[in-house]
Amino acid sequence: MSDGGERLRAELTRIWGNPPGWRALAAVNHSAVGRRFVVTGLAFFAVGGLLAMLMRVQLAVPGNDFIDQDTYNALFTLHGTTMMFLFAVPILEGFAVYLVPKLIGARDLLFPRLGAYGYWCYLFGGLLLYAGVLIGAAPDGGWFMYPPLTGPRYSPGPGADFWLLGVTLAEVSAVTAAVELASTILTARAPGMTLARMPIFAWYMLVVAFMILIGFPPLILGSVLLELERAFAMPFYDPRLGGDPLLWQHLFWLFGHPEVYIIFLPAVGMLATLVPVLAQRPLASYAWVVIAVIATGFLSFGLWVHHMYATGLPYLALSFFAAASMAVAVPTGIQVFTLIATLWPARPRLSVPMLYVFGFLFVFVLGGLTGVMVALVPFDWQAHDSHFVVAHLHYVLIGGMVFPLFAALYFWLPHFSGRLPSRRLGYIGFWLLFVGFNLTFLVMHLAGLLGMPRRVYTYSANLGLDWPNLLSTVGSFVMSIGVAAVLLDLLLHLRLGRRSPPNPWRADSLDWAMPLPPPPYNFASIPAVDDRHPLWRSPALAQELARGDHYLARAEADRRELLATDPITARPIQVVVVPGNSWSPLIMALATAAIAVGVLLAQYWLSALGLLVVITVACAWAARRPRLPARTAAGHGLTLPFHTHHPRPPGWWGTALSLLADATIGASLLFAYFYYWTVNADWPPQPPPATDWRLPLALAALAASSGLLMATQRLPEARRSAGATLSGAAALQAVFVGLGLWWLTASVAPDADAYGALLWAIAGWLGLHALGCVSMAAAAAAALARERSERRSVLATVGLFWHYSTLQGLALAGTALAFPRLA
Amino acid sequence: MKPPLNMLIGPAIWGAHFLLCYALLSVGCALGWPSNALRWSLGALTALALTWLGCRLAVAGRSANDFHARVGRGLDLLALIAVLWLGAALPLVPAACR
Repeated sequence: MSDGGERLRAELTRIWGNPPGWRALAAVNHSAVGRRFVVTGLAFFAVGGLLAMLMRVQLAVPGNDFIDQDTYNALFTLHGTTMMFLFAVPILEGFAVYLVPKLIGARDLLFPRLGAYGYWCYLFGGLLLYAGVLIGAAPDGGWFMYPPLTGPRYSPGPGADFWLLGVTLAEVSAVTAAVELASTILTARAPGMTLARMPIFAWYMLVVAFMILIGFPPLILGSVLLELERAFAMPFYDPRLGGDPLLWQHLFWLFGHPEVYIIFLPAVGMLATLVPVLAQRPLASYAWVVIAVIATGFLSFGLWVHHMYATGLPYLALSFFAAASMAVAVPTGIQVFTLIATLWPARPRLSVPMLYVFGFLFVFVLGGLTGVMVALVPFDWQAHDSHFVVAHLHYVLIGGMVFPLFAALYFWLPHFSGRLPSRRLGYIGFWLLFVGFNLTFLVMHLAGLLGMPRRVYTYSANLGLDWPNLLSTVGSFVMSIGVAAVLLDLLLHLRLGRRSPPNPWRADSLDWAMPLPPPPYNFASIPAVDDRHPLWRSPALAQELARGDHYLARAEADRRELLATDPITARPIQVVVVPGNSWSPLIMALATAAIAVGVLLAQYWLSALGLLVVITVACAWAARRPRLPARTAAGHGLTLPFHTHHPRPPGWWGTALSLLADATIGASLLFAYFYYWTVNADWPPQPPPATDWRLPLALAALAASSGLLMATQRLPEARRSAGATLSGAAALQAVFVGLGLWWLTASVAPDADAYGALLWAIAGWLGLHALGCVSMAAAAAAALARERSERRSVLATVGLFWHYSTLQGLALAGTALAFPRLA
Repeated sequence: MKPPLNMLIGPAIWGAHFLLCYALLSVGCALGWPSNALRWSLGALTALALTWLGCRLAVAGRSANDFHARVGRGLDLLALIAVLWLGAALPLVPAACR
């Protein structure tokens, strides 16, 4: 290009740019959404930290009356909830949303509106949780919300409802981020970026995204079941009616333990990205790091019962979980050793990020060692519910997440803002944090071993607990001043920081192959990659990309274009047009929050209205497809189809990944059924209801709807009858719901016992799927009425959801109804 | 099977073995099976998983040495260690249902 690509970049900036002023709330660009997550996460971190300080003041001396026990209960509940749900997971997702497209050479994530929707859900979830505090109904049942303590009998106020609904919104946000991160990493990498050349952070986030899709749904289900028990007296956790409170613990920790690794892995992934840059040499044993990350992802799902050692499970079952808890130390150790091996021969400068790397190595390894201790059943029985466990989990979480996070913040700050932070404030912040942290929590191990219990607001004098608690409180103040120094540095650098040169760390990855701060389109042309360290191999790559020397160097018809590649070979396969700025994510998130508020206030019309708006907006998203020609030139002589004419469009990948989360909820419902069966001598508590003609006919209608859709998929494109057959399939779904509901209403009451409640829960789940099928059919019919040649692409996505829903419906209904007659 | 999915078979065997052991124990306890029957069933499951993983490792030694193959071998090895570690509990811990 004769003008050095200036005109191209100006056009791309116009097309990809965020609107100014308050209209920036409509921005959906991944950089904007990622920054929102990070800033909001830091704000919640500050709030959670203040809550911790109040607790430490209370515990500074024995018999203190600074706060009463009820306030203390609310404080530790909110502190844990805020740090786990509103800080740790979202801020790391924010980093990933911001960094992943840049690292893999993409202009954006595949579903920008979904990313924006996820952010708003997270924000509204957090605000809903704290709304309870403002009206004097703070949740106080612990961050784990165990029933029966949090059930309707012992927590009749709305505090637990605020928690359940707020956290569920935050969980929805995590799932949406996981869907778009996984689909983008799999299908939107730069040409030539095979799995073996993928940046290590992308590997970490790919594994974490799958972990979120499998790990978070059990808690979403558990929370919904608990809310149903609280709102409609459906006795899922009431042992008097066949329920069991331990089911909650299983569902919670099926989420809760993988969550520890969902927090840890992205943080270490950031370290594995920045440590080689600081050492100026490649990551040692890249393949072994990939092995360790995948192994950690799998093993983390075999640890959940190690939070339940004291619940009376069989010894052998406990030993299985103890074995897995110890085994996970192997891949975790591999990751730590590869970082050390990368640093060992290098002589890295003691920059601020490097200090935090050393802090991580020291603190996290200590936390890991006490982790192996509490993985041993006999030791855990002694230390259970003591401050030893509090100290252990803070060593793991602050060592494994906060230290890496601060390293990453200092490393990528020039990227976020284009400015450099203060080195002096950075050093001060680190040393105060490091010393204060160890003073607080190293001593806390001792307090725990001396018998200091968790979640108890005071203690008596002369138990030997006075001085460890006082030291911990002093340490916590030192640590807080350190955190404040870091946050102050972050704020001040925006105004006072020096302008950063491009690529200030001499990094190897594509995220630095752009001006700082980055333009909204990331790359003026999409890079072709033939090495794991593209910038070290081609130092002039940034200039080539800016000039438009690579793929998709164009700004046509105001379209936001991405290049999609094959998940394995990274060969270009389609050009994807992603949507621009829109208010619909905010509207949809407001409607989602309205569903929760409706339940909270028992104004169910509001929930129904919210659901209607969500479905309408989702249908509008799906139906409003850009009108595109079948094929287009992508540069360098390459001609590719647009995504609207590809049999595996991005929507197919997004749907497939969403269905993984969906299937986990279905599997959790089955788990609940069989769990009740194993713990109840008589299950179902009453004989199962008789089945008549309505039930087989309902299931037949469900199967027939899938058959009709399959026939529609096979129709030749020239035929006009897609709308008619889609309507027929949708009508069969309606017959399925109508007959099923008719039978259920006449046969079993939702509050009769746990079996009836579970049947109604399964019916509700299947009903939601039927609603999804009908909505998708409407959106598909609308899209195909405009453009028939896209039938293959449209129906591939609809068919995936539809056939899955049918299979799940038959499996769940079949098991819940047939098994009681067989067993 | 395509290489990236093939490399996940090792951890999937570990996952299936873990899940089946836990499910078998829960069902066995619910149905009141004798502890010896439980122990032998779990031992058979473990032997099966170890054999499968061992065969995969033996065959993998003769296969290609590309990235996917190396990652697959490493994952098989870690899965073997994890299954062995779990299986080690079987002769040591009482199979009583409490």
